[in-house]
Amino acid sequence: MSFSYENLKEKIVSRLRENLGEDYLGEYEGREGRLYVNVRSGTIKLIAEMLKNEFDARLVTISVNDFGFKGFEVLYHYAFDYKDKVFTKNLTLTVKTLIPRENPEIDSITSIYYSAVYAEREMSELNGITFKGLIDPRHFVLPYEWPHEVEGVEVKKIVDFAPEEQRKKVGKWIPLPVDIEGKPELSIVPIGPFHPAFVEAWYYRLKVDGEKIIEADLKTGFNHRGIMKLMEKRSYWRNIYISERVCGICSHTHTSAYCRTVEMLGNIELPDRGRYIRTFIKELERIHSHLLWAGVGMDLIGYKTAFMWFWRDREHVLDIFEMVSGNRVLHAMNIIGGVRRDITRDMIPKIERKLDIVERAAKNYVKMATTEPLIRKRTVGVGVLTKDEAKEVGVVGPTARASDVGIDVRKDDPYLAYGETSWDMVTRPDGDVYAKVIVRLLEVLQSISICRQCLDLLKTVGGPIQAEVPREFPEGEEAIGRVEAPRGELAYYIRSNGTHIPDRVRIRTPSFLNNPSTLYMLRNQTIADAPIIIASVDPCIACTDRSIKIVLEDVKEKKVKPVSFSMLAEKSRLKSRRM
Amino acid sequence: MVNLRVLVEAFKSLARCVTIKYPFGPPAYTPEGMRGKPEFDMEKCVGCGGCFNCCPPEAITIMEEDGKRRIEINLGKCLYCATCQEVCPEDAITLTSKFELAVYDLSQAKETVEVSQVKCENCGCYFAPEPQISKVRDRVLSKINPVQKETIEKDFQVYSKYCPTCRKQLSFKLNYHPRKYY
Repeated sequence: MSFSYENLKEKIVSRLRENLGEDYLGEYEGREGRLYVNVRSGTIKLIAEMLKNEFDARLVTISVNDFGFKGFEVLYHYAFDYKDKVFTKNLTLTVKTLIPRENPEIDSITSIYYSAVYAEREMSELNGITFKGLIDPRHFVLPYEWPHEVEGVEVKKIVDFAPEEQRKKVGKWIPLPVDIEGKPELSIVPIGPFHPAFVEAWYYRLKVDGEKIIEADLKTGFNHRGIMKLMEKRSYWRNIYISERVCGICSHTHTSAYCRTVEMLGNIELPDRGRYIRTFIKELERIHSHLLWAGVGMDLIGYKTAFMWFWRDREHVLDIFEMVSGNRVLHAMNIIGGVRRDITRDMIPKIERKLDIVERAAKNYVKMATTEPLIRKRTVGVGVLTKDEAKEVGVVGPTARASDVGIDVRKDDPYLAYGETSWDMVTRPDGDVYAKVIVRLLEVLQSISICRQCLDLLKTVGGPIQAEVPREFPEGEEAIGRVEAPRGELAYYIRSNGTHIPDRVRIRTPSFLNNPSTLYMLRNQTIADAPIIIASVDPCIACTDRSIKIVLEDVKEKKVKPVSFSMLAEKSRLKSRRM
Repeated sequence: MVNLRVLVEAFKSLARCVTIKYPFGPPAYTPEGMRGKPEFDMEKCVGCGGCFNCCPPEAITIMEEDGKRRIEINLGKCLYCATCQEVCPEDAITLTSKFELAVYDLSQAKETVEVSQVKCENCGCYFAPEPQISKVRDRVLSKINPVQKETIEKDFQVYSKYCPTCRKQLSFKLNYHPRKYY
């Protein structure tokens, strides 16, 4: 089966018309290949099943619009990039349905898409919507033990879990809460809620039999700060700096995702020079993020020397940032309709010299990762995520590409200068930690090549770096903007209301989908391998929780004494020393 | 586990030092255009409040008392994003390369500028910063037709003494009406 882009759009619309009949309420097209479809709320499950089976669609996220007395609008965003290599331009389908305010209930699609579990849990917590038949209806942001009634919104009771029965109902293994009742030979190892290695708080429960992990469970949401709500109170221009602070490592990616979405709202075309500078900074950020991750990974397997090397060479990238934007991490380079600072002619030779150093180092690291026995012993065959599992959890970015799922927003939905530059998507078929290391290191080389091409273009292309931007945006417009962050696909959904303040902002970060995949990877591994498996997806809790500040909680009164991540990491390092 | 690559890198590092002795060594290198501590130029600032309007984290505040307008940047709240520097019409605010901003007392972590205001001769209220009015006058007069220039210059001397409310009330007495320019 092969569709072209136009063909696919018509085909989906006609199939939806056939299947739904009167429940189909019409469709309209947005900018840059966005298609919006209105349906009645009862058909959501049917549509999800059809899209998955016939079109191999990927669920991007679920978002909710609050229309006051009119009710809630639930939006399901689908992308069609699993069937890649056929489309020249990607289609993003949004299925919209309206549910009444008095009885905000809708069918859950978690039995079809496991990746919907986290989105549905988050939306039911933040908007008070009940998803009927949700596989894992525990709290997401609030603690599990939180009282059932919260400020007028009824939060459902914590259901008694019978994991095996739930799995039988769905027909496949899915991560569910772990317990060891009636099995004295097993024990539970809690990690967290502190996470000293990344200075971020989250909570793992590992069900272990001796050294072997049988199952794992994850709780995030310890630092929720409500950035999405905060963005609904400030103007589009002030929001740029809030979105920059969602995540420290991918600060530029968040602003360019935000700016891309707002530019779609206002139909703003970027000037060439602004586009190239934005691409250049974005790729530099990918290099810096991957090198940082590789350093942390090496530290966790006990290879401290390599950790120092990686971070030493990352300094050169930070120097370029400092030279171009004036700051090492929070660049503040983006503005709606362009960038704020220009790359001058005398900067370019300095940047090229720094890039040479980084490239030489990166090539050395690829050689090192393939030949060093320690790295191979600790990563080959550890934490395997198969292709089917990867599609099941809906992982994105390097994690997906290491499991032979070739999705990359830069190729599928080309934005900025990615359509004009030549580069290859790196995929590996194995799905273990080693594949993830190699994918990331090879991507560094690709990014350097893109940076070089952007610099060459900047030498010849002149003109402005900012476009003319209206002060207000038309009412009722909506846009979903997707960009490829270092960790994977990052999606923003923004709805305008005719003023200078957005009506609704929804952020779906890559770690939101990647974190649950660790639960698949941890099965049947040893505890000493747990740190590197958890770190292999490059987990970013600041992204998942959309927060900056770490809130320390008192754990002294709890019965189980938590194992800190550093203790576990020490165990992992010991394993390397014994080798 | 010591292999050849580690040894080679170790010898390379001996020749080229990566770290610096901070804070005991020479001052740390900061590149041109670094976004550090924002500083006001006392002489250039006209007190228009443009920076107050655009500041994303609302770190800039304006206070008016005793005929003075005080603009204050709270350095604890500041993002160092340089939006104020872009917006300032007089280039009175610049982000310097100073980055050692630690203080013992939080009340010291701020940057202020004071501008005196004009007092209305009729009602006695303070209505606009003095330098802003003179800047606006200069700018208007420099761009205007020389025939009208003389009249307007005379008018300015009278009108800049009264606040907007009083100007409306006294418009007949002061012979203030836009129609006379046509």
